[in-house]
Amino acid sequence: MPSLDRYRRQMDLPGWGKDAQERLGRSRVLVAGLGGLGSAVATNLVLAGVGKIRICDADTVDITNLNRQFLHSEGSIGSHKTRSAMETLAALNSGVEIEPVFSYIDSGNVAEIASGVSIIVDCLDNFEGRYVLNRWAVEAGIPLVHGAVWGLEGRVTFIAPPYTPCLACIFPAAPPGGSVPVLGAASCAIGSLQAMETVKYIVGTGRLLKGRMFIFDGSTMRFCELELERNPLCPVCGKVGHGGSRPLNGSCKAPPD
Amino acid sequence: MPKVIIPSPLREYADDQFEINLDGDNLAETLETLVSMYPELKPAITGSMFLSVFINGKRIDSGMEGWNSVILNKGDEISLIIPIAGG
Repeated sequence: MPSLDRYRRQMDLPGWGKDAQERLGRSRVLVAGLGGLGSAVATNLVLAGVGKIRICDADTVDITNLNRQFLHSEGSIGSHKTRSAMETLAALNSGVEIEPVFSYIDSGNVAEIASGVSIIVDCLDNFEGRYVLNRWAVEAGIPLVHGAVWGLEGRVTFIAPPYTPCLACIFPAAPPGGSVPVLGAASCAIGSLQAMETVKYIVGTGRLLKGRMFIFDGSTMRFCELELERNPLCPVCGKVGHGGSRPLNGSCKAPPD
Repeated sequence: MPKVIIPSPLREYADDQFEINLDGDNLAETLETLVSMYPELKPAITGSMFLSVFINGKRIDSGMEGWNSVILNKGDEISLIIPIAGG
């Protein structure tokens, strides 16, 4: 077994130690999307020592990505994002296994792409794919860490029905996507928070953003928290009831059915 | 006086303001005042199926037709939440 010395500073966290690190090492996480959010999420998970990270994206690197997507570099323009990401991540930590999936996520392939993971991190750039991932995560009983960014503003919430609303409860409909302005520092901040929620879930520590949406606005350096409730008529998660076997981490503010 | 927090994607339609203090005894009056001051906000507020309104962090479920029965108090913070998907 490789040395755990590189993780010493996080193993020193109260209540963590070798057990927490081994839990991270045994886990497999899907990072869906390798843009600004995905760069921060995948990098932080690799540094934290998550054992297996499946990275999924269907794009190639474009020069307009480089203000925020630090997994990729000038030399990787035109390459698959999964390839440049894999090279960057492997150089950071050879003890982590990276599983690249060069593909869009749609209802026909989501089961194959997302199966076998303990948690999914949604770093996509469009609601179409986000809704597909949300539906699959709800049906499979796998938690989903939602993050999104616009300009200097971003949002994070932890989705795990029946203990929380799902994405369709929060946003029953969304306009078509498109290119939006984003500062790299904003996507980096929000992606880092998504990674933090993911690590907390795996380790089983802290209080997750269940039933809460964290909103950070870099323009004003203000943040706020919204209380989120389930929609009992939600077409995606409305029939998911309590009594499941998913372990509860942290506290949960979502109301009972 | 209630305060409306303008989300980043809509600020260009409200003179780039982050937040606006407005008169109004209920949510309908306040948001109508906002839209009358900044008509370009109308499609995203009174004309949108994508908007969610939160007051002091709690969601208003009534829908637009019930906004006039949502009484506002001094210092209430109104958050206009629209879907964003940037990754």
